[in-house]
Amino acid sequence: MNLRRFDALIVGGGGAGLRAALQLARSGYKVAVVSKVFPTRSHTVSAQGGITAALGNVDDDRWEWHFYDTVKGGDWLGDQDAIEFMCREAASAVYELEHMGLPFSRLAGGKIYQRPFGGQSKNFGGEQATRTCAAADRTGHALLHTLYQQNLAARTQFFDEVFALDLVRDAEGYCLGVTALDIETGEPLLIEARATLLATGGAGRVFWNSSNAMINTGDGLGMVLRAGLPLQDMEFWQFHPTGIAGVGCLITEGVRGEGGYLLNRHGERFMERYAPHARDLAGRDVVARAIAIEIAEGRGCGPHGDYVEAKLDHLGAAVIAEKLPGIRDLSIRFAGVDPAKSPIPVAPTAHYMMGGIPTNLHGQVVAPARFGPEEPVPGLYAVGECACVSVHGANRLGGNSLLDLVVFGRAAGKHMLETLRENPYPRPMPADAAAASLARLARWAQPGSERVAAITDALRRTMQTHCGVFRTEATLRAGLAELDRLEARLAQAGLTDSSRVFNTARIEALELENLMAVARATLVSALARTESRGAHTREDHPQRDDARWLKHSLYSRAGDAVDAKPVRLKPLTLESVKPEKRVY
Amino acid sequence: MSDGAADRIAWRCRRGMLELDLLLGGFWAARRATLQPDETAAFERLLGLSDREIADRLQAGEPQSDAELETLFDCLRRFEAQNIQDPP
Repeated sequence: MNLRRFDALIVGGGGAGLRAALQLARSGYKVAVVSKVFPTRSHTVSAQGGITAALGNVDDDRWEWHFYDTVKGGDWLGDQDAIEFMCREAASAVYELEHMGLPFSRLAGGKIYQRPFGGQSKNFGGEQATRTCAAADRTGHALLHTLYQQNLAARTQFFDEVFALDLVRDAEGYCLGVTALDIETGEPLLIEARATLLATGGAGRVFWNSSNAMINTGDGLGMVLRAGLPLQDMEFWQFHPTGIAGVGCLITEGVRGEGGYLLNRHGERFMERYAPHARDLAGRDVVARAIAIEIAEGRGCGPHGDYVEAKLDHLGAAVIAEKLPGIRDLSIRFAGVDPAKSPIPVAPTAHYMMGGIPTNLHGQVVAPARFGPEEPVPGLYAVGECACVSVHGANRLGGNSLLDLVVFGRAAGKHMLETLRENPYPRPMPADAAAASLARLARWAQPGSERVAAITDALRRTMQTHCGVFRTEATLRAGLAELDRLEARLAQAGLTDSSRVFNTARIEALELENLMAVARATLVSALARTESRGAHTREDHPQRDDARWLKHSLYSRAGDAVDAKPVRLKPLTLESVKPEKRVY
Repeated sequence: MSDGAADRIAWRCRRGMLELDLLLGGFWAARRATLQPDETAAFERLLGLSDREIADRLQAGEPQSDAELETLFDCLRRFEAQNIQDPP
């Protein structure tokens, strides 16, 4: 097998991976970024609205208010030390991007443009704040291209169109790199590194109706589960309130930040009933549930009553063209309406995974071990949507995901530098390092009676039906039973294409294995958590239950076990924000 | 065109934005058998653009110096108008 050796390895070419890679490459280390698509086609490019930092360019603001809003937005499941770290580092992270050349939109005086987003407040729950820094409605694209250019300048080595298969660990648990598959040649690779970071993004394609690009198949999560490590808080999936109905493409919250609002079939601004204070700018989970209720109770729009409308024509064509040009284009192309003239049909769409690979503030992957519940896995890091640090708790606020990428990407990069200095030589590679991966590849060289695409479709429909915005024990158990049947079918699946070169069917089969693992982690964790918190809504347990459930869940593949670990309620320097009823 | 070359193009229709996944992947699946070699070559050049460049050029409709690419963008706009997609 072809062996490549680097100081540090980054799996995933999105914003988190590129920010960490830059930290390492600028320090002179030999860094590889492995990405299954060209890095600038990573899903970070889709982030429309912006990156949140309390710069105070438009209105008074303080990072402590951002901290409070993030704790509250996450329904107190977020770790307050990590949230303080992120909010405090936010301004410097944004200015750093500005200095790298990210073309932020500008206010008249030249400062970075900021817009209001849902869940943002002044004075710890007071009036609406204006905190999200934006490059028009293409902030993610600007961020990704800026970081990519900086990495090219720093001589980061890119392995494009290479699919990561499995983590390689030695008998003592050290991560020594990954196995991978070169998509173009079909050749397996062993990529060795003294520090490995997973930045593989989310897994939103596990749902039928999703805003996520097709690449979001939870590859890093599958790798971690196969390595015997746990996933944290996998029951928490954010359904973005405003996906284009029937398609899933996202209409950014910036639309409501700029003054757009939602209407039901009676022309009522229904968010006034659900969130009298914040109305359309309440937290995403609150707005998504409100829309789901309006639709379920017969107040949806259209011939099937299956969507509500986002109205923004009152903003005027000039404002829409200047502030939301991409949204106008999306609406015309995928909904057939010009929002300067007509409202956009919208419905909740699976958007973001709050859970993921458990990490500490340095991005080190942590897992229960001999000496405690959060021991670092040596040599292994995770950052971004695939990770759970946990700053988003039970529900992420808009504008905090790009911030998460750059703050913890930088933090992980810095800690990886320490790891490289403390471990100057590679550890011995086990003789059977690639055995499990080669067995997986050999399995997909066999014929079978079931088709991968059919199972993938069935999986996504199952998750949408049984694990969507509203859940009950009965729906989740039915979902698990269906998943058992799908796994049995997967065991019988085979490929009709046995070629090596660009065998995309084989990649889709490997992605399905990862999605299956994510689905099981989600269903089992959602069944275990008998309360409603943030984005996890159990109709049979409608209240938040802090006495029993103010804790993180830890799912392990062995025996489908769900363990728990405490939420860190103590920030680094601030007073703890005590749990209270979450009202907007 | 070999299967490997066609699959390479199919993989490069995987983008960072769902709307481009739907449009480019849908277009290639529907038209790969009928595109002429020069049209296929232009489609590969189009796939080399960034997601935002593709989205902007689909939106703007401004004439470009590459006539083959411009014809292809017209083709994509017509395809999209005829096929507002459901998610696959």
